[in-house]
Amino acid sequence: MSVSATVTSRDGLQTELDRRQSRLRPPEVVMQPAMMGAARLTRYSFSRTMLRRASRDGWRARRARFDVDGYGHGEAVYELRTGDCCFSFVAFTTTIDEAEHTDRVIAERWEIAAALVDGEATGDLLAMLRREVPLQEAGRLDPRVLVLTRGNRSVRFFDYLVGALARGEQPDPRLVADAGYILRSTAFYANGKYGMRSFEGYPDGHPLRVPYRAQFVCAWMFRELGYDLVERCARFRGGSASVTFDPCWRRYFGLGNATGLGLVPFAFKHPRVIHAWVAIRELALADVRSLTGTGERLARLEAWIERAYSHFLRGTEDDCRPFLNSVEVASVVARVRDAFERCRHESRPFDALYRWSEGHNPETTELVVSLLLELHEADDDLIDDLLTVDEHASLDPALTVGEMRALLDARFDWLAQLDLDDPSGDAWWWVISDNNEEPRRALRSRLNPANRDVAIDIALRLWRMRSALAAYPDSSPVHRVLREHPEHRIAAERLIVSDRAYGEPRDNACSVHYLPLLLQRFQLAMYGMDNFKPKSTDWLRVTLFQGAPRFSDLGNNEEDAWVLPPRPGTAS
Amino acid sequence: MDKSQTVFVAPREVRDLVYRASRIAGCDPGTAEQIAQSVEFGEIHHGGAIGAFCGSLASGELPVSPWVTAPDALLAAETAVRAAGSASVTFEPAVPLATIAATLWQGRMRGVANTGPDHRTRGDRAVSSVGLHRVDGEVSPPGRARIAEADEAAHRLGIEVDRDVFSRLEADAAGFLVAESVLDQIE
Repeated sequence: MSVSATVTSRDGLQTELDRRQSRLRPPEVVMQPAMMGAARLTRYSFSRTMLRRASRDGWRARRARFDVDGYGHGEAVYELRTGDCCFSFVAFTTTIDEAEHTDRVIAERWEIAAALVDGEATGDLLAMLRREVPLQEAGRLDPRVLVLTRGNRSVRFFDYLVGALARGEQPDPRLVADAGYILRSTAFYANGKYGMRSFEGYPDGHPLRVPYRAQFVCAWMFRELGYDLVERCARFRGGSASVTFDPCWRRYFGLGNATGLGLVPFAFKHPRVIHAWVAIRELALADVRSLTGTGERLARLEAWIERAYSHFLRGTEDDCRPFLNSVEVASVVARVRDAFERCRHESRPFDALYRWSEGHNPETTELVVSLLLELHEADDDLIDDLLTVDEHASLDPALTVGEMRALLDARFDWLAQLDLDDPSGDAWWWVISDNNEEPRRALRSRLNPANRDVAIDIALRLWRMRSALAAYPDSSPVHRVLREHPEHRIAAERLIVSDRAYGEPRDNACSVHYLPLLLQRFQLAMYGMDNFKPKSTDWLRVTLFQGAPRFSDLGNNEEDAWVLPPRPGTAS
Repeated sequence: MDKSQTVFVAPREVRDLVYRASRIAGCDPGTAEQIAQSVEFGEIHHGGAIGAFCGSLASGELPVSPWVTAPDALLAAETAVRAAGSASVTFEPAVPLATIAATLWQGRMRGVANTGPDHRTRGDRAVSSVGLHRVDGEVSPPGRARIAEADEAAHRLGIEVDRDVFSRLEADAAGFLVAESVLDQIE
């Protein structure tokens, strides 16, 4: 995108879309559940944009204090300096019995409890963190705190890694197999929760005033803690015989994450945010598809295809349904490689490759999209700007029923495909548990919502409002409808705010057939996570920052090409 | 305000808790959202909104309280103003300013200004009537800047509210959550 970074976000994104209108994939393709559930990380995923920003702006990170004993119990402080600003990641570490390990948000004990704060962690701030952070949701924070998180060691691999290093050995690649992480996090709370600073409270020019930037800084520092814990424990166990991770291994592990249903309500509640995420990807895809096949571009894509093949081929063969496991993805990459060989001599080879992928399943299509986007080089200032959206919209009380009907036809014509009148369309309701406020879902047939439902039944509500409007003449003002039928207020508001092409997942979260994993995977891919391993229909494990630069790598002219790392000890 | 009696809360905490308490009190999601916005706006820009809301909750009739009826009356009047140029709304009995402050501001953004209460009026102060009139153009820059500045400060530093009132709100909202044991049982 060769456009100025000075365009404003709200109009800027639409302007960019308008310029490429005829070349964009339509929302009826992109926002289908199966397509969203095949999404993969791209160079515009948040983990990557964060690290490019860190590299470009000369951020510096260091371990400021590490008061941790040989068992991994203690306190660690890491600092990030971004020019004039300092941020501190403060972690409190312990161990818990293996039986107490759980990925659920509802767990009461964690081996790592941590926070990212604005400034140096000293004095009363540190005292407050020591008191409140281990309490997690039960604690009370203040606006100096930006992110609250927690996690556990990998039961399978932490001790193995400690043992290997303690003996003076590097890990055996056959034994770590698909291990992509040392620590596994579960939540990154921010934006005003538990008294923390709201995102809107970051002043202009603040280095973390980009959606999710603070959370990804926090996650990246959390990952660093994993390496330090393993090496400290290995040193304690092995003494002078112990070693640290060698250059092959020192970047291989990312941070694990376990994700439950909490992502789903977010995606259904924030159409303009979802639009921005998708639109940026679609803009980039449209640009790449229009490129000619210069030697440099063809070689670059070829290298990415090989890298992906090598990475996935040596990953897990576990059952990852409904997704493909790593080895199965490798076979898809192999087909992409063959198709690319056939397309590379066409005048628009990248478009040809994309069109080939359209004839295959969504996993193939979105894998190709992910690979093609490696050829796109947008201005990251612009990308950051386009991600920041204004979610405010107010319903004009003078809007007429006729205008409402027209908007419904224009924006939600796809509702007719969802069979929303069938009882199976209203089977689930979404609920927040009293245990750490974990979102869950319940069958209506088993439990009456009794006004405790989380209103993400958007499709049902708009469909029902459409029926209710039939009783009113076109000229009726909407405020009259809503005074008589307040139950349609939320649908009317949604109709107004949903004014962007890619804002609505075309699915019904209450349908008996609804599969949360699809939308979860979409969001996790946007964040920059990979290795999707479902553990049920409702939650999955993933990895982020695998292969990413460590603290000491910043400022070394690190390339952006750190994703899909080869497994150490294997031929690439 | 006695600092030991206050607590700083994030705007979203106010909004989330009011929403939940409103749902449990019988409001549909859209109405609960509207009330939550009113309380958040009222607390940030006028103060006293959470206390006024908790008072309405205690009455047991939130869905027919001024938090619902007063904004509806203003919206109806706003459409009349567009045609006639001016209108007035009388509230009998008088309503807390916080119930209508957000709606008045949104109307201002749409070119309908009000006479009567202004930004110095406390959110829990009773208002018995409001005059509305059409204005040309956008909101005056000083008004917009004042609102933006207060919003930014609330998000950056939090909103200082009475500790007891906030605890009351938390208790009122707790019923929105479903016991984990109940959810486990029906799985």
